[in-house]
Amino acid sequence: MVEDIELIRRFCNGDETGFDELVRRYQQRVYAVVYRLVRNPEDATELAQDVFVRAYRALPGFKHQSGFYTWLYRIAVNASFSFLKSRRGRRTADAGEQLDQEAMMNLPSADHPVRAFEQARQRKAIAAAVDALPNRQRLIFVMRQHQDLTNDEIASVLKCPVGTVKANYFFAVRNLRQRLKDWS
Amino acid sequence: MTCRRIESLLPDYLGRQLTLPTMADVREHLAGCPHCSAELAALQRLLALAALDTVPAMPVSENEFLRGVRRRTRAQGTNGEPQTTSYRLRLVRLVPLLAAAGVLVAVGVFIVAHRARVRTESDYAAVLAEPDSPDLLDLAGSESELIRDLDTSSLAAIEFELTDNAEVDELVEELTPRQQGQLVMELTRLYGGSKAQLTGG
Repeated sequence: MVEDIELIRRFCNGDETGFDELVRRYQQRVYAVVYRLVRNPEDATELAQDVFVRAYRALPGFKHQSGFYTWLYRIAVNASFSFLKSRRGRRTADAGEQLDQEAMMNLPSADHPVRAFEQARQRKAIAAAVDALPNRQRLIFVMRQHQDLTNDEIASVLKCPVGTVKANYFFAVRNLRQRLKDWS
Repeated sequence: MTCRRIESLLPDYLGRQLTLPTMADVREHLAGCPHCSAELAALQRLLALAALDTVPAMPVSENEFLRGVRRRTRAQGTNGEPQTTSYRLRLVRLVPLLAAAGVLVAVGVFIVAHRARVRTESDYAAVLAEPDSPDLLDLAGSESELIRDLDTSSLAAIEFELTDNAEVDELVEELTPRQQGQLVMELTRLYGGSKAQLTGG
């Protein structure tokens, strides 16, 4: 597989296919992190595309001080937070609506209707609990739990001390345990 | 290490994000501590539960996604700003601007209204200073209208304007706050229309 750095070099030399390959390579991961923050597939898709547009614009100035994905991840996080700020107050309602839709999609299978229904409820409760975390805790929890980033990587993305990452993750877990005590 | 310290390390222990010596210390503590072992089990259950929170598939195919990005990047303006950011996102971004514009308009309306009101109060005073001015007590004595919002700043402005007329001032002082409020309302109803009428011009 061609290294990111080579694709970036090609792009910076005028070969747009280098950037296309970066989009193909990272679109799902960017979409996933954005979705976990905005909780809406359509918004997440548009925002993820927006992330790549910003990257396209900024890539010629990319200093290689971090990995490409770390850099891209930072753009995604900032874009998501800007989006959340601009629609403050709408997030909970949207998330609730989205979760209801998801729960409905997971409704009773023919084999285990009760279990399927219970799982849908469970998923809804988990998503709501994560969504209710303060932004920074939620973000760090998602990055650790779902993106498999290390504390150091998260600190690099968020430009904060590693201790801050550890503390926020700890409190996120504690808050989730409290909110999900009926389920876990 | 104390149980409290171990508990704080458990998330990083599970994520294998501790140094090897610390991992070994935690493991050793867990082997002899039912309390911390139970904490670890609870944490594992929680994280297993959280793993159920999956991401739904992207509503567009990977190729459509790429085409969308290309479309937007091709439409970049000369200043580097993307000109075709999606309609919904643009709307969302417009919200703060629209809110700011709304606040400016509201402030403008307030200033204009406030100025107009102050000018009218001055005019009231001019009318009341005339020898044939309306009987204040008659005006204030009306109980026909309820005063919803007693505008004390308006009243203060009127009183200030009326201080040059000792007789009027004395009458106003005799009014209850409710009557004073009604006075403002009645004067507004009677003379709020035109400055020419107020000043007899």
